[in-house]
Amino acid sequence: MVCPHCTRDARFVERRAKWCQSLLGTIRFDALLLSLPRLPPGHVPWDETLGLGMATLTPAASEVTSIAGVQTSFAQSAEVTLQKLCGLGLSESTVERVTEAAGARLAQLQSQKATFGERMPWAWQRDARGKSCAYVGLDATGVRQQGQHASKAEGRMAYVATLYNRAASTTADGPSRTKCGF
Amino acid sequence: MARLEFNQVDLNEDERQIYERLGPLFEQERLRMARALASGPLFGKKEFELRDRVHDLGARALEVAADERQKKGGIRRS
Repeated sequence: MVCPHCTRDARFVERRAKWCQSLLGTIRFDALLLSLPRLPPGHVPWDETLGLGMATLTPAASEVTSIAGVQTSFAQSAEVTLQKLCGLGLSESTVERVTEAAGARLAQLQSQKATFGERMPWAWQRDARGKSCAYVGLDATGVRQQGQHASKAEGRMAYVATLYNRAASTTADGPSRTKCGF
Repeated sequence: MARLEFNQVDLNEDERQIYERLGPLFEQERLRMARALASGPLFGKKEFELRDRVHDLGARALEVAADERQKKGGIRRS
């Protein structure tokens, strides 16, 4: 048969029930298990068509899990937050794995200098000389760290920065001119 | 999760009132969901949309139930 995802020749292995945790609860679907040359046995093309890959959580379930995972401890997120807010019953280790994977993806995107959100021009405030002027706010906070096997580790500083435009009235000719305050 | 099969004849008068009022709401939502789910990626953004629709349906169901109770004098202002 032909793999419906990659359209290569494949050998049918079996039809297997798969369970997946979605944002709306656990869902079950039948997946075709195929064997393709040069791929590990047990290729499930339907997973890729659905956008699930090897994951047992759907993209939306992963998203809310990562959001909860960074708010509080993984245990608290699994046992209270996700359960109460979304009805998602996940283990602490799943929340940890999903949150850390999201963090790793974010770190990779940041290292590639990816832009998040839509690109949009800003109507920058102008100073007394008519030059556009942006403000940068920077703050650092100490975050205690834990090493391997709960060992002692050096603390790290987390930096948070904001780039902002000072509020001013904007006219049809553009933003009004004000003096910069430093 | 085990699903209990109910039959209309099992409903008492109060339950039947709500059941009948919920019918058109559920039918409208059924149409919207069928349209939304028939095309495009199934997971991700669509899950959030579907969750919002289901929550909205739940909110409408609560409205109907509250209205029915108010008609019967079940909810009184203190």
